[in-house]
Amino acid sequence: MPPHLCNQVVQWSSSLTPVIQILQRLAGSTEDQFLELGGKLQDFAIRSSKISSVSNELVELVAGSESSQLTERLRRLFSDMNDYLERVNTQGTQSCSTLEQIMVQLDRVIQPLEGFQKMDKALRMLSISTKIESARLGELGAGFTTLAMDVEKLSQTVSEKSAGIMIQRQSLAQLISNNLQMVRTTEEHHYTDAHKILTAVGNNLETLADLNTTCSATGNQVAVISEQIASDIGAVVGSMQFHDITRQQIEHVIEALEKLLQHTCSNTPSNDDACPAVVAEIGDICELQTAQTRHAADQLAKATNTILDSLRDIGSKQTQISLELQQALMGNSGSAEVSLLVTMEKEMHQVTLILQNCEKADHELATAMQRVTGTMAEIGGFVSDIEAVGSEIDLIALNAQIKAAHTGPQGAALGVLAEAIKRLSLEAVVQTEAVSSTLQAINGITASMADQNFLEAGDSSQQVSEMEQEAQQIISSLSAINRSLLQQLSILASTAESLSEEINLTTSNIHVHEEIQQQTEQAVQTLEQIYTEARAQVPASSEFRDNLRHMEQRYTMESERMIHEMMAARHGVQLSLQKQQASTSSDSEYGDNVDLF
Amino acid sequence: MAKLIMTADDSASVRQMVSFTLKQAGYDVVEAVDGKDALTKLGTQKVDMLITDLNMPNLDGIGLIKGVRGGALNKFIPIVMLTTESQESRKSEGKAAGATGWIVKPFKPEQLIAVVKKVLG
Repeated sequence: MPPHLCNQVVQWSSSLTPVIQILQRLAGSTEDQFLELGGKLQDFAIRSSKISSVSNELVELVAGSESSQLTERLRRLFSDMNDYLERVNTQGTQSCSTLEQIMVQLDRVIQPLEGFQKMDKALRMLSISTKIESARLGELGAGFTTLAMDVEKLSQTVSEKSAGIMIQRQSLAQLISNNLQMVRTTEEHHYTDAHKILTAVGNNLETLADLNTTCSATGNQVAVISEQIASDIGAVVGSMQFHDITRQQIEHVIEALEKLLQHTCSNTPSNDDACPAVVAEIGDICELQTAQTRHAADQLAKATNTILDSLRDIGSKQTQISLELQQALMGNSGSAEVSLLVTMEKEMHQVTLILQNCEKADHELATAMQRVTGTMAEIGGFVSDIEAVGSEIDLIALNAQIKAAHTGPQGAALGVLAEAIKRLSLEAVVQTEAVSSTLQAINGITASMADQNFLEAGDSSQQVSEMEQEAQQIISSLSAINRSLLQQLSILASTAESLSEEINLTTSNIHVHEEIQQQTEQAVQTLEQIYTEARAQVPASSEFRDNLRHMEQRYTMESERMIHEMMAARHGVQLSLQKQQASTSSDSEYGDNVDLF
Repeated sequence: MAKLIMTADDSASVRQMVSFTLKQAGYDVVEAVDGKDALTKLGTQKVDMLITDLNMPNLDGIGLIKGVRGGALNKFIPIVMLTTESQESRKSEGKAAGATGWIVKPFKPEQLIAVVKKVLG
């Protein structure tokens, strides 16, 4: 064997030492970095779990049972308020109609009342005429003086009572006019405003229902994302173990190279005949260990990239959860002031105020209607008096006719007066009936109002009070939910943001795989150079091919055997051990890497 | 009360991942850096399960299993090997020594938890 071959063996052997040193450094230097990364992973997992937990709490807060019950209560209250406003509105319309009817009736009273005033004038004239005629008759007309005084007294009574009715009528008309204005104003402003707000509340209720649906969907999305994050964490845990697996593979490579080094040192240069065999062995071992080293480095690089990708994925998914929930709960603005619940809280306050105003107006109307009935009772008294006057005129007229008849032809003029008084009594009856029937019509209208509970503000007041109380409770619950919501959203946003930032910072500082790749490449290049040169001197022998069959059994790891098989295939050797392994390994329910005995 | 599981492995990063996985699932964990450390601790501390590596300095996984099965306090606990080795001969050796199961690294967290739940009943 030429001596230069032995010299080359020495040279290759000396090149192996730095390769072994590089690999030794690789095997022992990365533990701390992976431990630190493992520590970060635990921290990220805890924070990620907190984000998922807060997200679920948020979803429960908005779409959970408490929120659903509140929405249901809101729906009921909304319906009650609508009913109440509808009823109050109908009552307002009916009140207006009733008051307008009373006004019409009150206008009708004017004419008969003016008739009373004319009657008063006529009675006074008749009284004077009777006095004059009585004076003209002298002794004969003495009885007529008393009659004239009675007629005068009657005229005063008619005047007083009709004036009283007129004053009451005016007062009533004024009262009704004011109430009509109040009812119309209430209708125009409060009812319209209340309807507008209730419509908005109704729309918001629908939005709230949509929000519940969206949040439930987001909740499902959160659950899906949380599962994906758990899967990411699982991928990181799996990949982190490749540090130990790779370390062992590198240690196996070191072991093989150290044995080779020991063997070459013991065979060269003292034994020149052994050199070709040593060269072949160097070629064999270096080729095999190049493949194993490259595979180990690639495996670790792949695992590290999986760790990086998975961590980044965790960060982006948690940010996604946070953003989706904020989007779902706060809409596009992202501002706390315009959150739906805050808006609804404000609207409920407004509706409560309007209800209070409506209730106040309702109460005022009821009070006014009570005054109308009171006034009607007073007018009724006057009408009775006027009816009595009518009867009295009739009696006076009869008395005057009798007296005129007793007086004989000289009392003919008095007979004419008696006739006039008689006619007035008939007219009084007509006018009294006109006033009386009109007032009865008004009484009928006010009685129908009483039937329609217009005058009973008590029930309405209690209902408004109950609705107010319910609204207050709902507002209080809404406020509590809103406070929790904002607090949780704030926690969620800050936790997700800080987690994402820290994950980005951590992943950007991970370069261990690049360092390993770089150093491995240096070792692999040297090994490649050695086996290429060795193969050029002594090609792979059939002995090597045979050895490949036996060497596979020495590997402890599946991946090492796989690389060995690939190497063997490259040299035309088909190994079936892996297939045998696969067929004998129990593919249990826990996975093909698990055996339970 | 949470079950206590010992993880014995000379690789700190593997112990870290095993502990993390078990703690996430609600178990308490005690760590041992090799077979000897594990056997010493198991002599005085009762645990519910042992998860051990095969190749460790001072005392390997097979030696540890034999030690535990020959002891008193943790004699009957389930012992699962967690190792990179996958040869059938080694598995048989582990089984003969008294191992309850064999998991080849890398493990998936859900896989480990499923096995733990199974062997702990």
